[in-house]
Amino acid sequence: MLELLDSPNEFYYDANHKLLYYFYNGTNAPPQDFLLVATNLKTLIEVLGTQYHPVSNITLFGLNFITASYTFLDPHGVSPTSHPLPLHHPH
Amino acid sequence: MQVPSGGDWGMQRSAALSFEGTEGLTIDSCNFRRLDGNAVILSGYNRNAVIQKSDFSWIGWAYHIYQNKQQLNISLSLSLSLSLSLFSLLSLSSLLSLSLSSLLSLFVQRFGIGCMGLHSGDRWHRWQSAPRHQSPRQLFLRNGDVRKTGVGLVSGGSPLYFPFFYVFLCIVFSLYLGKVLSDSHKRKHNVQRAEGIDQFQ
Repeated sequence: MLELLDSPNEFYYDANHKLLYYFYNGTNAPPQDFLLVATNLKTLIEVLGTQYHPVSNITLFGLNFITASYTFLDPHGVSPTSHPLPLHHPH
Repeated sequence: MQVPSGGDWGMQRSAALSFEGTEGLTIDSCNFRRLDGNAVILSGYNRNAVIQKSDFSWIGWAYHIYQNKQQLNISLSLSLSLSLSLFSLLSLSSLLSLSLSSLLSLFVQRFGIGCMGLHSGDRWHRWQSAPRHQSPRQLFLRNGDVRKTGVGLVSGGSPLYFPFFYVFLCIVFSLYLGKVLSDSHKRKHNVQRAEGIDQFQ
């Protein structure tokens, strides 16, 4: 809701009018060189093999991985073996 | 099983780079910046993974996660076998428990249980795994720079799965048992002495 936009770094996207509201800091306007990055991807690279068909000898060298989407509000899970860390199981 | 919130230790089992079922993975000289989640997760079967000379900054959650795909109670078998072995050595009476513990040790050696330390930056984390075939092994973290991350290196495992925990419990129980027996012996001896003194008087 647009009315809840009252703290820095909060945003609201009005899908009907295709407008993005961003609460910068409440006092000044954003500077001219202000860069806003909107993210959508949570997983940039996923490699999935098995023990019997493993994916072998992959090298990621000299790459920059930046600005993946946040996962803080994703649901969490707990391991069925009373694991101390509740874990999110995406699959 | 999902919960609404994981609490302080809550975590998503996903990351910007997600690896499962890999061998010989190398992440070298990479930069991870402003990932509002986990940076790297090695889940399940991973062998000979190397993460080196990489820079992790402004990461929302953890920069490395090593997570067992499954955790069985094999560690309990190892703990039981160690406890039985210790009990056998202490009592020197139960050959059956010794042979049973040997069998359990062979079983555990066959299917695997491991614990190892991982070093990244200035942090040590104990990593424990139950089934050898389903957990990451032979991992190397070196020459990395980590700053401004939400959570440090996170690893799977639980103190209850750590075999030394059960060995410690066994030692404590043995000491307690020895103290109880010793007290009982002293009490009996003192009673006999007192009775002897009474008879003497």
